[in-house]
Amino acid sequence: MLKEALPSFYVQFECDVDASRTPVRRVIVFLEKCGFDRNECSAWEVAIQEGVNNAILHSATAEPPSRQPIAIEVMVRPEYVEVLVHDHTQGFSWPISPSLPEPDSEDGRGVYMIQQLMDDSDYLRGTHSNRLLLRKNRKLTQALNAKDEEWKDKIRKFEKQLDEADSALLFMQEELSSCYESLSAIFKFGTELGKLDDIQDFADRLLKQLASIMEADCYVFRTCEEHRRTLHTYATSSSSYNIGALKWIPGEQQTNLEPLAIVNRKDVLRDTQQEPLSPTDPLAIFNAGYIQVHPIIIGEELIGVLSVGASKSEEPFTSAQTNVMHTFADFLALQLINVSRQEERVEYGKISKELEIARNIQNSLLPSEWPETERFTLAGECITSRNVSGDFFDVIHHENDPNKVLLVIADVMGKGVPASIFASIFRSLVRASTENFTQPAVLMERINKAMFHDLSGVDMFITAQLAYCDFEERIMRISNAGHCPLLLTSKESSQKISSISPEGLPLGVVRNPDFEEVEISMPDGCRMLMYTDGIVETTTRMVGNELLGQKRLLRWFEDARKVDQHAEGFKVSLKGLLKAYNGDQLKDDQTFILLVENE
Amino acid sequence: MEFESSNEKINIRGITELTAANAGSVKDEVRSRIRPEHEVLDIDMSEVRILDSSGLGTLISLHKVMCQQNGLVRILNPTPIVEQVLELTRLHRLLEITRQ
Repeated sequence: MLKEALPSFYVQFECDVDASRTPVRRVIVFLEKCGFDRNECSAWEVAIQEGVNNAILHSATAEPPSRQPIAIEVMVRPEYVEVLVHDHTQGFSWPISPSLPEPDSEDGRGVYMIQQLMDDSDYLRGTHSNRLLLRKNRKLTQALNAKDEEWKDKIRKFEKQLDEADSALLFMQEELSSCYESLSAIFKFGTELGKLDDIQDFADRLLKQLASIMEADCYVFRTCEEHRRTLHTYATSSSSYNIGALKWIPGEQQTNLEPLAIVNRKDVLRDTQQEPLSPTDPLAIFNAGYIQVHPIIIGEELIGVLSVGASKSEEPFTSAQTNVMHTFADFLALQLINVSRQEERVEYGKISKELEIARNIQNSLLPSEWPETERFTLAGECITSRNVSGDFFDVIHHENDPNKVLLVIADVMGKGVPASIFASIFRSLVRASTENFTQPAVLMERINKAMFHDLSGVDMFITAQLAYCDFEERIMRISNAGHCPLLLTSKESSQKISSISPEGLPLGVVRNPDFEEVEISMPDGCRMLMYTDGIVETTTRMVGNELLGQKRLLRWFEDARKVDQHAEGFKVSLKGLLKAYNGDQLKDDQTFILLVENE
Repeated sequence: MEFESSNEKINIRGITELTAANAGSVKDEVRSRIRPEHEVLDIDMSEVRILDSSGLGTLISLHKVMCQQNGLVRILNPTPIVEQVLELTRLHRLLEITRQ
C-alpha cells in the first residue's frame, strides 16, 4: 500500500537579505495552503526570516565570505511542521538558553525570538553545510480538519439521533403524564365502588372525566342486548343528543360506526373530513372531526359501546388517550354488571324467602301424625328435590271410624312452584270430597272433573293413587290415575308381591275418563307400599348412572317385609336404600307411604 | 511609507514589513524627518505583517532619538504578530502601544 506523500516544500535562493524575502513569503504561502491560520503563519515567517537572516549574516562574515545559496525545506507532518534552513557557512554555536540583551540594545534578539516562537529548534553543523531545524507542533483544530469527512458525517448522525431521542423522551413524558392522570381518576372513582346509590350519576361523572382527559367534547355510552341486536342510550355528553335505540342485522354490511365496531369486535376510528358518516348514522349528530367507537367486551360478552368525538382536534386520539378510553369503558361496564348482580341478589333473596314460606306452608299440609291401630301402622315421607314439591301424599281419617283411612299419593308433572300449586289444589279437593271417602274411583272422577280445565290449560297432568283401607274388614279399594302400581305383600316369604295398578288415565288428560276400582283383601302380616316414580327413577353414579328401578325396589321390599317392625322401621330402611342411590343431588321428588301390619 | 508632521507630532504609516531587508532604510528616513520640536513619533503598524529582530533594532534606535529630545515613540494599532514580538522581547514596556 502506498503511503500518502506528506506535504513538503523546497526553495533555494541567493544568499542575500533582499533576495530572501520572496522565497520566505513563498514558504508562508505554502503553509497557508496547508490550512494553517494567519497567526501561526506570521510566527513561522518571523522565525524562518530570523534563521535566514542569521545564515546570511554568518556567510557574509565568513573568511572567505560564502555566497552559496541558502535553501529552505518544509515538511508538514500530521503532528508537527518542520523547517530546515540550509546554509553553507562555517556555522556557529547555537545557544541552549539565550537571554535578552539590554532593552536599549538594538541587536541580539534573533535566536531568542526563534526559540520563543518555535516549540523546538536546533542548529545542526555539518561538513559542507549546516541546518537550522525549526519545529512547531500542529494545533488540534488543524488535526481535526485534516481528518476524513466521515467523522463529520458521524457527528451529524449522532446529533440527529440525539434529537430523535429527545423527541421520544418528550413523547414518553406526555404519555406517562396522561397515564398518571388516568390512574388518579380511576382510583378516585374506585373509592366509590360498593357505595353507589345512583349508578347513572356515577356514569355521567366518570364519562365527563374521560372526555376531559381525552380532550373530547362529545360522547355517548350505550348498553347492548346482543341477542336482540339492539343498542340503548345510557349516557350522553349533552341532553340534546337525542340518540334513539339502534338495531342492526348480523350478516349485512354495516355502514354505521357502532354496529361496525360490534360486528368486528374492535375499535373503529373515523376521520369524518376524509370519510364522512352516513346520514343515517346516529353519531352524525356529534359533528366531530374525529370519532372513535369502542365495543366493551367483558369475558366473551358484549356489554355496550362507547363513542367519543373531538371536533377541535386536528389529529386522531393518541394511543395513550385510547388506552384511557378502554380502561374507563371497562371500569364503567364492570360497575354496571356489579349493580345488576346486586339487584339480582336482592331479588333472589326475596324469592328464596317466599319459596321458604311456600315450603313451610306445603309441609304444614302434609300429615303431621300417622294413625295407628292395634295392629296396623303407617309411615311416609315426601323428599323434595327443590324448595317446593310437585309430589303429594295424605292420610285422611274417617271422621267416625279410626279403622278406616284413605291413603292418597300424587305426582304433578313438572317441578317447582307450578307443580306445588296443583298439588295443594289436589289435596284440598280430596279433603273436601269426604262423601266419596270409601269410593276412590268416584273420588278420582270428581277430582279430574274439577281440575281438568286448569290442568289442560297449562298442559299439565297429575298421576295419583287412592287407596281406601278398612282395617277391620281387612279390605282395600284402590283407584289409579296413571300412577306407579301399589305393591302389596305379607310378612310370609311364600306370599308374592302383588303389583296393583287399576286402569285410569292421569288427571287432566281427558275430560271424562273412566277410573277402575279394585278391591282386594289384606293378607296377614300385610305390607303395602305406595310410591312416586321419583323413587324408581333415581340413579346411582356408582354403576354408571343406572336406575334404581322397579326390580331393585321389589328386591328391597322382598327382604324388608320379613322383618317384624313397625312402618317407621320400614321407612328408615327405604330411605337408606334411596340415599345410597341418590348421592348428593336429588333429580326428582321422592314420596312414599308404607302400611305395615304387626302382630 | 507616508509621513505626516505637525508642530509636536510626526506620524508614519504605510509600513508593511520591518525586517533586515528594510530596517536600515526605514531608520535612516525616519531619523531624517524628525525635528527637534517633535514630541511624539507615532508609528502606525496596523499593516505590518512581519517584524524581525532587525526591525526591533530600528524601533529602539528611533526610541533613543526621541528620548534625547524628551519625546516618545508610540506604536499605533499593532498587528497580532507585532504585538506578540514586542511582548516576547519585553519591548512593550519600553515602547508605548496605543490603539485608536
